[in-house]
Parts: sequence; structure tokens; C-alpha cells
Amino acid sequence: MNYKKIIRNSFSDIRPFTDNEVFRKKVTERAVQMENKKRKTMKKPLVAFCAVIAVLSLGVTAAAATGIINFNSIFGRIIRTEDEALGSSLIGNAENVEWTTSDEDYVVDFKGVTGSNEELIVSFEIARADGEPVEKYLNNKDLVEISGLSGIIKSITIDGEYPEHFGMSDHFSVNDNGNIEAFFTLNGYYFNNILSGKKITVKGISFYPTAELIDGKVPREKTVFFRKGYVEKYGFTEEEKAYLDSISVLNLEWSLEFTYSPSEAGEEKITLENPEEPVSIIFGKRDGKNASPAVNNGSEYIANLLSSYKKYEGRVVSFTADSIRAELSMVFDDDPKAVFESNLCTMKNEFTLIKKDGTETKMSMGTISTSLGETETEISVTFRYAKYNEIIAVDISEYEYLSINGTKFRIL
Amino acid sequence: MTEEKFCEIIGLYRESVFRTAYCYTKNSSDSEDITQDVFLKLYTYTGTFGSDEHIKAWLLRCTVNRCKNLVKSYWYRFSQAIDENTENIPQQDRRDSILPLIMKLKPKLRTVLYMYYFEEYTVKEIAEIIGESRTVVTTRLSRGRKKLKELLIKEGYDEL
Repeated sequence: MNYKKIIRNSFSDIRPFTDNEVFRKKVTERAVQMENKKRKTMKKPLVAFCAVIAVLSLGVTAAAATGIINFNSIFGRIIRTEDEALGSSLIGNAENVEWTTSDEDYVVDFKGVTGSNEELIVSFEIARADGEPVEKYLNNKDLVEISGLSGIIKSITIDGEYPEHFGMSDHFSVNDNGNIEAFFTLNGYYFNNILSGKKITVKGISFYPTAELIDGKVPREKTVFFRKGYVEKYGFTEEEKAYLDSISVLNLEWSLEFTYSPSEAGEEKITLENPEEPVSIIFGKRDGKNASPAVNNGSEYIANLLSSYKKYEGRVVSFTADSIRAELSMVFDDDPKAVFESNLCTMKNEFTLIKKDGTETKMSMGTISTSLGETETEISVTFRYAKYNEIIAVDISEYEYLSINGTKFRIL
Repeated sequence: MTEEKFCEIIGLYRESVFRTAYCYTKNSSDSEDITQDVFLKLYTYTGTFGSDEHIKAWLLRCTVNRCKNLVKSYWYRFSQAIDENTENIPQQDRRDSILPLIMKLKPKLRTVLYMYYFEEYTVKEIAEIIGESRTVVTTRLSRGRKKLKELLIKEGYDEL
């Protein structure tokens, strides 16, 4: 038998398990369900728009279960524009924002949400009610500085259900104010995943130095969010709990809940000239003490990390008026300890929007999708950059170029 | 598309879609989900097709795109470590099946091999379906064959 026939025969072993009639029924049932869902979630844009404007202009406060959020305080920080309508069209809307913390000394300071119907990026901060920097109250602050800060997401639900077919990533760090800055991304990867109008609930438990958390004493699947609320469902063993308690730098359970609707701009795809052109993505060791690859686990991982990637090239995969996604292809070498942990690195990448007159607007970093990979396997890592703070309200049509670490793309 | 035509298309191309998805994901459940998604997309598609072959190429292109999205999602990469060892595709106990070895190749390589040898597409057609250049397809075919040969020798297959 020739090799072509053998290969062909081999592939014929792959067969679906159900018969065609059962399959057809499933597909048509899903089509009907999808149609019904669309009808139920159909929005009345004018009413929604008026409601948002009313909320914004009247400064109505929304009473949360354990905190009071003023919508002006949420959006006021984000939209620094004289044109409020433009601002509200460029960011996503979060309504019915509620949060809880297990310790009343701490608050969840919701910054905002941006994204599209299929993806959202949330920005929030864990701060102290008395205004003191959280950093002052972290145990083992030095190790956090060396290896970065990680949080454990206990669960996420969409309309009360554990999400199927959604990817998520998070990023925690100590910001310039000394508070815990958090970004959280949720993206559907099936075309019928719709986030608009959904109630998103995220729950987290405590904070840890990244190096200690990835040390392997607690299974990886429990320290990284897993679909269907893995941690919430399965919890930790007594031994794991004791270990986590011993390395925790801040014991704090928190939750954040809101109803999301995307901005118009989040649906607006922007086309770039030569999007396939590679760009360099920069990894760096953390500055200061962490430059020493000496003693602790964190440094060991950092050393492995930086020597474990053979390629440092990325490309822009998606760019909307609200956010940029850039993807980096990497190849692990044969270091068995190779593990990608974004919190262990500083990302010194510059995503900048450039106007025709040369004015530059830097974009803020959102989340980085971390990944575990096999040796010699090409993986991709997705960086999400978003327009937060005042730049969120820029009108993209004014800009001519997007620059990533010096590689310029013309916006078409 | 009429209900009758839709049934006919399922009969003709469902296995091709499933196999393509399996080449990428190496997981029956994900492949079944992707196959459902792709046919759902066809069911709700309002455009027209020139021929059945056109439909097939469209289905496979959707499948490849869906797979790429799935495989690059963070959740997928993470959960693979847990799922992949539990996967059990029925294996025929035949000397003429080398599927386990083919599945050891990288997804991109085995998908191109599948389209070339099983679906009998040309390099040009494969390039259009997977959205890559002809050079990329040729390289992947060549690498796929080379890697497969190495694996066969390692497993004691003297010659094919």
C-alpha cells in the first residue's frame, strides 16, 4: 500500500459520534434558540441612550449592596471631554455596579469598562477606604516588588451562569498610588457569544506574590481562573489553604458585579495598512531589586522566562476604536521550567496613537493573556491595550498612525 | 437554503468539517462543538453559493477560522493540559492506520496534510482555505511529511 493511501485511511478513522439526523436537529434547535434569544435581548437604543444621558447629567447615585457608587465619579474620571455624547459612545457602559469586600477597610474602585459585543475589558482598583495606599498594608512587600502581584479569581458568572466558551485573563499590579490595579478581560470565541446586556459577576480571593503562587505547591489550575468557576466549585484542600494563607500578602475576598453594554465604537473595526508586518514586543525584568537573579523562586522563574523564548515578534490582530489586540508568537525552548507569567515581567511596550500633526497619545495597558505551553511549541500571547483615562474619549478619526514600539501602521 | 438542501450538505460535508476541526483541536467534544457552530452559521447564512464545492470550501474556511480562535484562547490552552489525555478517538487496530502518529504533529501540519491527502485539495486551494500563502502551505506539507517520516522510523515502520 502506498503512503498516500495509508495517510488517507488514517484520517478516515476520525469520525463524529452522533448520526447526521441527531446533528441536524441540534443545529436547527440552536438556530431557533438563537433567534429567540435575539428577540429577548433586543435593545431600544434611543431609550437606553436617554437613560445613560439622564444618569450622567443628573448625577444619580446607584446604591450598591455594600457601597455607593456615583456614576459621575465613575465616568467623570474616564471621560474628560466637553462632548459627553462622544464620550459615552466611545466607552462601554456599566450599570447597576455593585461590589463587596470581606474587610470594610477596603473598597473596590470601579474605573470603567470598554469593549465590544464579544469582548470586554474591565478596569478597577482595590483601595483603602481611608485613602491610605494599600501597599503599606501588604505583607512581604519586597517579594511583591520582585516577582509581581497575583490575585486568584474564584469565579466569574454571566447572568448567573458559569460561562462556556469564553476566555478570560486578568492582570494585577501595584500602581503608582500604591493601590492594587486590576484589569480583567472576558472574550467569547464563538460567534454567538453576546455580552451586551449581561450581568457580569467576578469574585476574587486574596493576593499573593506571583513567584510564590506559581511555585507548584498549589495546582496550577487552582491558582489561575478556570472555566465554570473551578475554584468556587472545587475549592482548595486544607493543605493548600494553609499554604495560601502562609504566602498571602493581603487576605481579602472581593466581588464586582455590573450589567454591561458595549460602546458603538467597540463594534467599529479599524483597518490598518500592512497589519501583517511584525512588531517587536519587549519583555523586561522588573527594575530594582529584582534585577538580581539570586535567591527566590521568583528570580528563578524570571531567569527561565527570559531565556525561554526564541521569538519576540508580534502582530496586530485586532484594532477597534476602543482597544487594540496584539498577538505575540513565541516558541519555548526545552527548558522544562519554562512558564509564561506576565506578572513576572515588565512590559515596556508603547502603543501610541499619532495624529496628523504629530501629537501622540499613549494607550494604557489592559490585560495580557498568559499561557502555559509545551516545549518547542509555538504559542501566542495576546496583549490587550485599551484607551482608559482621558484618552478614552479621543475621536479615532483624528489619528493617522498606530505605533507599536516604533513600528508605525497607517490607520485606513 | 431549504431544509432538504441543508440535510444534503450535512450528509456530504459534516465529516470533512469534523475531521478538519479534530486535526486542529485533537478533541472530539471541541470538534463537535465547532462542527455545530459552522453548520449553524451555514443554516443562518443568507448569501448564495455557486456550487456544492463552493459550500464545502466555505465550510472548511469557517472551520479553520473557528479553530484558530478556539486554540488561541487562553482558556483552551490552559485547559488542554487537563483534557487532552482523556481524549479517546476510536483507533482501528490496523497496520494501515498511522493516525496516532499523525496526531503527534503540530496542528498546522496535520491540517494541511489532511486537506492535501484526504480532501485532495491543491496547494492553491488549501492556501485559500486556511488564509495563508502557497509557500506556507508547501512548507507545512514538506515539514509534515518529514516529521511523519521521522516518527514512522522511530516507531519501527521500515517503509511505507
